[in-house]
Amino acid sequence: MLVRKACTSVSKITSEHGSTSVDSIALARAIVVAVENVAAVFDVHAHRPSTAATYGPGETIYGVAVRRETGDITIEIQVRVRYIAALPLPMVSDDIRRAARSAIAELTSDPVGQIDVAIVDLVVHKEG
Amino acid sequence: MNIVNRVLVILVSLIIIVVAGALLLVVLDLLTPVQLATNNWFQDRLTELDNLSGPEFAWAVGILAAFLVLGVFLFIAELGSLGTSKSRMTVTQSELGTVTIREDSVRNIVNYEARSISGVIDSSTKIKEHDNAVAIDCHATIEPGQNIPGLTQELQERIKATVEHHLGRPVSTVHVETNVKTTSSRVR
Repeated sequence: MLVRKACTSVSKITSEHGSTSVDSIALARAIVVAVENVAAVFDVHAHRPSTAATYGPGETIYGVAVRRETGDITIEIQVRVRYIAALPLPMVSDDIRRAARSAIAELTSDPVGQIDVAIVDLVVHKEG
Repeated sequence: MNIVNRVLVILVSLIIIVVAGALLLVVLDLLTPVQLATNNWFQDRLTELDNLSGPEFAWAVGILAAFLVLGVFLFIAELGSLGTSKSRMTVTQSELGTVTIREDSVRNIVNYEARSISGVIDSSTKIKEHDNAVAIDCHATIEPGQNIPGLTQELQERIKATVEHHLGRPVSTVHVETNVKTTSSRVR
């Protein structure tokens, strides 16, 4: 099965001190850390084959696809979520999006477009 | 992989199957080059294949058979993955993006909630989507001596409340089918 390949284009932040470049793989890595810190998230589903992946030179981040389409950064995140009776999934996905947006905002000023969240499993008993 | 890529892979696998299959039939003398191609250039190439013998014949059969197997494998794998992509349900869709969940996961939480009701031993669930609403069929195995109407009503209410709360989508119907577990005790 082929996977949709997220490009590894570079975004640049320029200031009076110089410029900083951030590639998609760095953004994907930051998103994984931020999303896994969301309380209701069990983990980013990084299993192969994954329909969401970001490819870089010598490195692939599975479970998060960072794409640059029409100038915006669009993101797809595959997660396993803890089943918490009081917490509706739209609320969990809002937290995931918020975490991903703030992780990107720390690295680049590029506009963020749609963030798709795919819940691949609800973890009922496992604790971790 | 998006739908365009998937259709592309299916088309490529079909081309591999047809071409490798046809060439294999020519090599095995089950088809003649004239039957397969009207163009002289193609007929000449196919005649070369038709006249293979010895180790070249064995290599040609092996390579074409490998391509045929590869094509069939790609075709089956891609059709299979189309099936799994269909088993996702949309939770929300807005300008912020789409939130989806695997149907299996919804089934799991329905079964989890059903089994947490006292008197329910086991359950299996089927989920269907109608327009924006969700319809659920639940087959529950219950302990003997239970008040079945009361238990099924509790099941319906619990399942409806759980799915509506977690998915944020209306549940149109919850059909519950019960099966009372029989205990066979033989005294010899």
